[in-house]
Amino acid sequence: MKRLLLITLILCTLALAQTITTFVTDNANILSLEEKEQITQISQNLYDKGAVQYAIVTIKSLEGQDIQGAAFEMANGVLGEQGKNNGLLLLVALDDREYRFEVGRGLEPDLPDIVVGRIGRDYLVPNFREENYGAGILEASKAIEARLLGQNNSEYYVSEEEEQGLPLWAIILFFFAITMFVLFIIIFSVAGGANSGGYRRYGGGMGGGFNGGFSGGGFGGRSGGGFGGGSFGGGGGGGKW
Amino acid sequence: MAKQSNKKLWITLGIIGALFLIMILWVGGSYNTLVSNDENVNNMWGNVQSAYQRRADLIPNLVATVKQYTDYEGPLLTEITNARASVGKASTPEQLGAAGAEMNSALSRLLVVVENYPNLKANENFLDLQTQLEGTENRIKVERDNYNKAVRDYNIKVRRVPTNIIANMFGFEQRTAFEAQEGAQNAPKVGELFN
Repeated sequence: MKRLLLITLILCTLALAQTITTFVTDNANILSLEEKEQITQISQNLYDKGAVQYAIVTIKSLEGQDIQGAAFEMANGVLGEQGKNNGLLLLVALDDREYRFEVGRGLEPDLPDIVVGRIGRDYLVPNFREENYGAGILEASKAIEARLLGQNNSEYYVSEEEEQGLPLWAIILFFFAITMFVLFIIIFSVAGGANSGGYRRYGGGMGGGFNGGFSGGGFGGRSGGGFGGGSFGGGGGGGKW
Repeated sequence: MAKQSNKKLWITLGIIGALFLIMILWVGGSYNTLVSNDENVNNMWGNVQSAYQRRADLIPNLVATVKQYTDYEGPLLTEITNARASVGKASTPEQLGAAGAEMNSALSRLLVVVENYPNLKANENFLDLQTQLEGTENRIKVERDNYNKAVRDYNIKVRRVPTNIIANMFGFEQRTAFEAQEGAQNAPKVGELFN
């Protein structure tokens, strides 16, 4: 009984998690196989050129969630190389008739909000209004490809590396002190003394202090299926059709 | 006999010395952690201010465009400009949150006005502005969330044993996070007006 409960729980979490693992995830079933291939090709090309990790996700409904929130959740910490933050997500919600490009921090210089907004308005919306979803996504993707490869902007935003832990000298000193400590205990016990139990209570204090020293709290990234785990700043553009 | 007691003395001194060193290292480690976390909060705060400022900076353009296409000149536009000034002057999460909410409210009302001017709504410039405003709303949200997370991490360190001893010794105090403002829930859905 407990096992069944556990399995159900795991399956439920998996269902909700929806980590992006491939370039094109067509949950709304609006793309033909051929269209998916063509779009995948563009993504693959961009991926190979190191320009961007571009994923397209279509879903049937946002179920009340705000599209920016949904796109951000899907993309943040998943798409884009860590440090380079060159992830890009196109989220299409069919029933809500909303779409959104979520742009990673590193791509903001190349794909500012206005540009992405215009690409959506000019290429995606006209096609979507005629229910040519594949064509819309394809044209928009080509526009993005042109924009990213035509303009080779290699100055990506780089997350600052946080200083973690203690400086080297402190670590060396620490080990030195420990060694001396241990040596003295050995000498002491060889010399035949009592009271060796009294020194154990200091172990707790050390543990607390040094655990603190090694967690600086920077941008963590759960890597999802082959993608890098870059971070997103909320930039991008979208709209309705 | 003398040799034996000398040895004992040295050993005791050595142990005390080593323990003292360990103590100092622990204090140093905790202090450094608190400093790192505190600085991280400052960093995130800077990002929040930037995000709010970014939105505020779009305002003059917005006001000019609205004036250009409408015959609407009014207290609303002044209100927005004033809200923008408040954002620039805010220095704590409460102040910034309040200034942001003020601007949200004024912007929402402006967008209602804009509804009556189809020329304006179709104008490419205005559409771009709309995209940008939306973008800044999102960025504000993201940076606020990052800030709150940094504050939470910091506050946990300040409150937990044994780091709280060091925190007290050196005067590290808890910091405030952003509270959800009433206005924030109703951030103008700039995109929704333009279908």
